[in-house]
Amino acid sequence: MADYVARLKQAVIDYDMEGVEKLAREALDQGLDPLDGIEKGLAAGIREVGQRFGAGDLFLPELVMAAETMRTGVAVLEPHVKKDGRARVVHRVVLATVQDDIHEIGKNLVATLLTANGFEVVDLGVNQPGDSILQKAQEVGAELVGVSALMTTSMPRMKELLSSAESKGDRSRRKYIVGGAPVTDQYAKEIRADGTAGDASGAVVLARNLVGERA
Amino acid sequence: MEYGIKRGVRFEILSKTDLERIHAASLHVLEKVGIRIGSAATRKVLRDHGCVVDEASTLVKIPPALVKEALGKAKRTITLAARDPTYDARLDGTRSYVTANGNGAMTVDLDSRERRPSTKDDLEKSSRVIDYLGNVHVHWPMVSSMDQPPATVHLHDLEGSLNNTVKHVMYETGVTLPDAKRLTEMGYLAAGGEEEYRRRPVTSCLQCTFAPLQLDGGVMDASLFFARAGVPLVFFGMPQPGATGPATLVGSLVVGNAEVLASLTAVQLHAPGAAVIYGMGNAPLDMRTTVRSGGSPEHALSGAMATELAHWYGLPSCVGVSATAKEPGDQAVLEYFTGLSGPLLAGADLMCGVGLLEDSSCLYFEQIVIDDEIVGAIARLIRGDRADEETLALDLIEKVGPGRNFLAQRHTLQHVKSDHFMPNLIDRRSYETWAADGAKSMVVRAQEKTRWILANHEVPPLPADIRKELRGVIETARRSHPDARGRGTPVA
Amino acid sequence: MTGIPIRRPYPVLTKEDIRQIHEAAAAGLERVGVQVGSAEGRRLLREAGATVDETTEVAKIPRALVDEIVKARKVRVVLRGRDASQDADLDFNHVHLCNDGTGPLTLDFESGERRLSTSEDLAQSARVSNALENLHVFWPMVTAQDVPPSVRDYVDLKVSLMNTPKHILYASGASGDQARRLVRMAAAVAGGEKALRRRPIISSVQTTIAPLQHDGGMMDAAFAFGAAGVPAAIFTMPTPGASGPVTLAGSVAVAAMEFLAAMVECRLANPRSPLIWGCGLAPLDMRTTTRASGSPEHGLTGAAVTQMAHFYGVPSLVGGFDATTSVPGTQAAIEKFSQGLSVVLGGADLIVGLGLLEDAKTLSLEQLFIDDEMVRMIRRIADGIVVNEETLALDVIEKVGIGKTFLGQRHTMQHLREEQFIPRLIDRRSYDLWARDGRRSLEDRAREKVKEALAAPVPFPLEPDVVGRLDAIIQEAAAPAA
Repeated sequence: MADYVARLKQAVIDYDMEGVEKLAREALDQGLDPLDGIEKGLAAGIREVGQRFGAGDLFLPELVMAAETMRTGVAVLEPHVKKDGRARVVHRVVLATVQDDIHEIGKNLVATLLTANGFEVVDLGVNQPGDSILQKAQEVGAELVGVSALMTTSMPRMKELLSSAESKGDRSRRKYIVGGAPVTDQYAKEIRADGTAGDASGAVVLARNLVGERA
Repeated sequence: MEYGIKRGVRFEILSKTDLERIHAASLHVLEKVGIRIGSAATRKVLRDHGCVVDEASTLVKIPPALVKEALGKAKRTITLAARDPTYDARLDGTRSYVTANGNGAMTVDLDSRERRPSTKDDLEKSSRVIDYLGNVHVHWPMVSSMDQPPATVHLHDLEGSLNNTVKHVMYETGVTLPDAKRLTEMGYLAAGGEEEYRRRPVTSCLQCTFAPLQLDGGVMDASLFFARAGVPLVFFGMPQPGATGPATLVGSLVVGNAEVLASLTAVQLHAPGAAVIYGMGNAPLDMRTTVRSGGSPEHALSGAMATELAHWYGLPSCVGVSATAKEPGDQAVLEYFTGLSGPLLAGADLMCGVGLLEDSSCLYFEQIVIDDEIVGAIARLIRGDRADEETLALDLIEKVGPGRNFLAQRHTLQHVKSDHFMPNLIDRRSYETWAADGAKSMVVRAQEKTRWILANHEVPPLPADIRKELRGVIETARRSHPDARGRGTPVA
Repeated sequence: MTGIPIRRPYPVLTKEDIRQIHEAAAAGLERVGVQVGSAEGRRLLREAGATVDETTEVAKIPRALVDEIVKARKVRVVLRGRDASQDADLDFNHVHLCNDGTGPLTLDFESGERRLSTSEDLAQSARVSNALENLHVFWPMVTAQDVPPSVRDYVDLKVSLMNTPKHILYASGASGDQARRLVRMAAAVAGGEKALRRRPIISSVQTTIAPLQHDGGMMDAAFAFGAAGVPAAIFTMPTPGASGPVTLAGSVAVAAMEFLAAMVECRLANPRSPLIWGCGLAPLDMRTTTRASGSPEHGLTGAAVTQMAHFYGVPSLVGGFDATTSVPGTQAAIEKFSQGLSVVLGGADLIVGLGLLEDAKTLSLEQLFIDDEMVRMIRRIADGIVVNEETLALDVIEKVGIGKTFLGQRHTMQHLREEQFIPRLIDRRSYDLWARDGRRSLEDRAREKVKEALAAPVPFPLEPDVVGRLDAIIQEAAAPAA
């Protein structure tokens, strides 16, 4: 079994997107504990990849392919995790681009890097009304909500979202971070967001700090 | 007309076969993969001309014959007119023109050195600096007036620009139909009326396509309007190699080319003979920092390639440069020099844009002046060298003979200005003289020069009645949208 | 073999320009001639049919003689390193880079003080050069001012040999005797004269004096090097507007005259002497009266002379990445880039210039790494674009489709390194991360690289007995003349 755990970890490090599904199914057939497979195998692999990327040893496409590999593997193993057994320790993040804004590459990079650093990301996509974002965050028990805007005139939607969260008592349940090219430190402070970062790597540092992990 | 940089191609990278293959690949993509177009009006134009349109998915497939037809209608020579005709940028294939960089959201204050959101004052000051510099030929509002009411920010940008430079003003902010209408109205006013504007358009709009293979609804609605209104357009493709386009530069060109051809086709069918410039800038995503690598060699190469492709189509080219440097200095120079030299040596018609740092988001006044110097050096490289009786000067060599010198010869004075680059900012004095004068770095000298320009350079004002009417357009906009619901500018 | 492979050079001169320049040079040699300070040189020319005036020392060379020499069998020039993997084959298909030298001044790495250079500075410059990605040949960057003038050139060579295994090239032969002594030093290291001839680990740069003068000692040295099989670069430097016509083509013609005359003499003395045409045509700045080495003109003429050199069948050695400013920074970057771009794109065989400031007077160790980064960027531009099915990637475009990303495609990772320039010094991070990490400038990061390089051991160190032999030769030179 240890062998399968190690192989699953290596599959992520080698970004074997095409072979991981077969490996995961085979592991299950051989009696692998799916939770071990995810946490000690796939997730351990993505954490190592994330570290190496942070150290400048790996390139982004390698990270993206590794994250894809992990996602494929998790999709096979997760349904088999016993509901009453050990729970996975998972930091969930909901990401979205605000209403009226359809730019998402920055958000997508943040999603990739967060996944690579062990977060579970629920990406709602672009042009998301504030209510949908809040609803989803509640539904999945997110610890963190991240919204982005590329256009200066979409930025007020961020302020709206935070007010709405405040009035629902949500600010105490989870952290809210903002991002996008025109979003400055000053603006984030002004709308009383829990933080902002200038690029995807900075977002990871911020997220880890906010959920209580050492950066 | 001596304005701009006289073109001389010093750098060619694609063969005719390469160009044909790229074109064929883009046509294949347009016909078989299609392009998603958010504008119902644009989809209608294309459907009416025989394209396969799926309204549910907004996917449009465009047949090659239609693209060919549209290219046939395209305008080959486009003049971006200036308030003062001396500064007209005539894109006719013989000269290259450099523009300012546009729409930064931050400025580093020239005096306090504080890095803060941009203001209309920054916009006006930077326009005046651009107006003064000899190696920047077309203006682009360099920052957004973030201290103005949101719905009017970009109208203020245009007004501030028109009032502070006599050069042509290209903007990037016509991204919805209502914006387009107002910006056009301001252009008409500045030119002295619609008829005069159509003859000599003093403003233009750069529109970005959205890789891979998407055209934004508001942008296309605005573009159809602009085209009929006589406002020149640039359609600028920006797939980022490795992210929104294949990692191979030419693969990303294929994707961007499909987007630009689709936009151009729709516009030419809607408004035959409209002035459309071919734009492309493929700076890759830097795979370690996740930042766009502006000023990279690839960015330069993509501009050179796009120029060759545009010229093969018979269109003027518009390409871009930017820098990831966070402050003026060596890195900014390496990135700007790289990014400017590639396309300019390939003969780019319109080269955007100087003066911003942090991937075109932060204004440093001194960088504008430094970039002006870089362009000057590149212009000399483009002029090159030629051997003829006058330049070989054999008679003169014989006259001077071994061991003497040429300083006192008339020939020397006659040719020195044309043959040698005369720096404005580079200080070539010996160490002792330079040290005695304060040992000032180039950045410091650039700051001093900027202050001099701001204190001494005056721009002839627009007539008072025009100024009043422009303010009127802004006021109307402010009153009808008090809480900024219009679509704003993508800051990228 | 080292060097940057050239996919295609970007010429400055048309075929017609080349022909015209050659015509002018050939006619000039017949009508005007060159002043030849070397008695041996004059003798060789007279015996071969030139008209030599012993009073003025001016030799007028007939076109037929020039043609005969130019058309003779070409001589291949390979600059060998003590480390054979660092051999630089000047084969007209690769661009090689060399540092600039020999500066009398150094910007102290610790204090920044501008002071006289020492042997230790030279040693450090060699060790930093070992760490550069695009530095193929070493030119002693500074000349040790803490060493008596009579032995300075010899000590510079010894210190260089001790600190780098690359080929060593520099301006050294001021007389036949000096040249012969340098040859003995090199032979001591190479393992004998025959070994040196087979694998010349040094070469020399002999500078002419514009317009149209060959110093006697300089040419005698060239003959001595040629006899030993050591390559000699004849370095012509008319300054447009001062010692050459202000029009660049005219100064190229003067340079061609000086080179051709030297080539004729050297080949008459020794038909197999390895020769390089060196050229540094930087204009006089007419407002400051300084030499504008970091100018677009200097680059354009370097590219032009490369074409002329290849026309004559010899490799070119040109100035590149020079600057008149005395400190690293924005001006240095602009000057170096404006000059270096043309010569790299023009396919020069050997480009001299990395690392010095103030028109080759002052050493800055950081500048070496900054210049190296510049070369890396220009190299990527020079590499251009490959168009084929794999790069057009139509199948990948179809697979990814509309609105999705190419980040997760294997094709992306497969092509990343060859398509994209990966920076070593350029910092692309967003403002926040850069600011939090100390707001370091490009120069700051270059300084860190210098520290790493200085800490690294010297590859291929010289054996103590070899060093002993070098010292003995230097002692001889120091002894007062009998």
